[in-house]
Amino acid sequence: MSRITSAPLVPGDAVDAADMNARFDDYSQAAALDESNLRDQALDLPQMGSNLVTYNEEHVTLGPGDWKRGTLVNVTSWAGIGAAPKQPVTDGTSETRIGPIAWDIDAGDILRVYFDLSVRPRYTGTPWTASPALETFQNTASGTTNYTVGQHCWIISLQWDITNATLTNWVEVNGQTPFTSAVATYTGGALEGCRAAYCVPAWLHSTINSKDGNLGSTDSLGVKWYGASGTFYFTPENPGTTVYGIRVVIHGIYMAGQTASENYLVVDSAVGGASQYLEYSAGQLSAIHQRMY
Amino acid sequence: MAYTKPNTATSATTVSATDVQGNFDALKTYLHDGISGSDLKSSAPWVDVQHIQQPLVDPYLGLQHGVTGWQGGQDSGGPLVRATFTSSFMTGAKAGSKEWIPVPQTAIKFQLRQSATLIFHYQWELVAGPDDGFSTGSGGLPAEEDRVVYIAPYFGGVQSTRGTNMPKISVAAQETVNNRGGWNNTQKSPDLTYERIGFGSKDGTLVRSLSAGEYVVGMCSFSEVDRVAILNWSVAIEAWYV
Repeated sequence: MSRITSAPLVPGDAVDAADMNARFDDYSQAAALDESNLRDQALDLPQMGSNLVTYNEEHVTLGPGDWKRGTLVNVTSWAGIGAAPKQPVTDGTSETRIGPIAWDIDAGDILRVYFDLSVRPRYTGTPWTASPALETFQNTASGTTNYTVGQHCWIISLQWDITNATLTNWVEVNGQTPFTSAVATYTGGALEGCRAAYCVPAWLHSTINSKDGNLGSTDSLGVKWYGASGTFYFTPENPGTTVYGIRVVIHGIYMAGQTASENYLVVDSAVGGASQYLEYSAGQLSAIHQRMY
Repeated sequence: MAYTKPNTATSATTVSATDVQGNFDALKTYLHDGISGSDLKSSAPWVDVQHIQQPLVDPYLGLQHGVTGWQGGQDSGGPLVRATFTSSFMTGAKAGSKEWIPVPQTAIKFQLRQSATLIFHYQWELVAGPDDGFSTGSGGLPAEEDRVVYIAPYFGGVQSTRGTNMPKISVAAQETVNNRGGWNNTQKSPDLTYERIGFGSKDGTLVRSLSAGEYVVGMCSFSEVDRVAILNWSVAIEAWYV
């Protein structure tokens, strides 16, 4: 016979403090739990193990959500100097994000985040020719050829709001660089800080028929439609973190940069503007809050 | 150690949802693995072997089932070992259709015995084309350089995965572009090397909250490209009972 003898709540019941406390205290009495509490009428068998427990799960559609691309959203590349603005993914009008939520991610918990998004980088002309990443190489005809070593790309990354449920205090998730570091005369983020970022090539620029270290001809290609995806895992130490919202942002265009000890992606202020943009159509963002032990 | 509620309600004071939920969360944690031997009634043994759920292993699908749910999956076994495919000849794209079809070998069927959180992981690497057949506009097909193959997860009850009405999760579809340029008549090979345009390596994760029942989850595709070889792939599920 179960020790928990409280009658179930039904619509219309008044619940006072004493009654509510008593219902939780039902589980607090030692040396008395039996099969009625833990097996026959309880929460089934998972309580017999000690493995992942899922507290919360949320998922949303990113972007307009039309895989047939009837509706697209554009992100224009940053043409200024300094940090590129982070542009949240929207359906064309409103942000498509997770939140407001209030998940307490405590020590021993894990936050798992997954996202994917269909994108198409667009450009006109040959924007890489204005870039400081354009280098001159010997070619196979005993002359020289200009070739970009910029590895230009867009970044799709994650932000969260861990301040409050107003969702006005977005910052990069733990371990993700905000791409605001000064790197010589440029601004960007270290590659080792790209914990929740996905890199999409802005264009494909390659060489063909190179020989003995000398360039053959060069060729440029549009990237076309492209499935991008990313993940993020967070396991906090004490104290934990309350997460109120999670969103995906897009920014760029970046190029390769470096210091003596670190590789970076930095804003290429010589490219960018309305003629270089990223289109997106549909994707998904999922988050799971679990306890590991 | 016996459960102690973290929040105590006070008479004549409005109780907050956060406090009540906090008590529930703590109780959930306690019931899952916080119970110690001293909490249990010991005057008469009451746990017998038949009360412990026997683990189940499905070697064909690479799955195991236990008290916490389902875990496991399968993969292609390496490049080309169990390569699979998709094709515009099956999706009907060249005739203007937008029919989605299953990707062979990638389905997982499982039965949940109670409510659970499903996390379906998938990954593939493919070569698309080259496809230089049909001129632009034929049958509603995009231009050669804009043709793509979409691959997406699908998810549904067992019955709904039959026939042509795939329960695709189309918002999660990821594209890989056709090896545009078609065939190079001089080199007798694809015009673009896959090292340049990529091998279409993609991955994703589908998350859903489910009630007890029988389900199928897997990969499906809509291809505008005539021949697509999926060289490597893997699918795996985590289904954690809540």
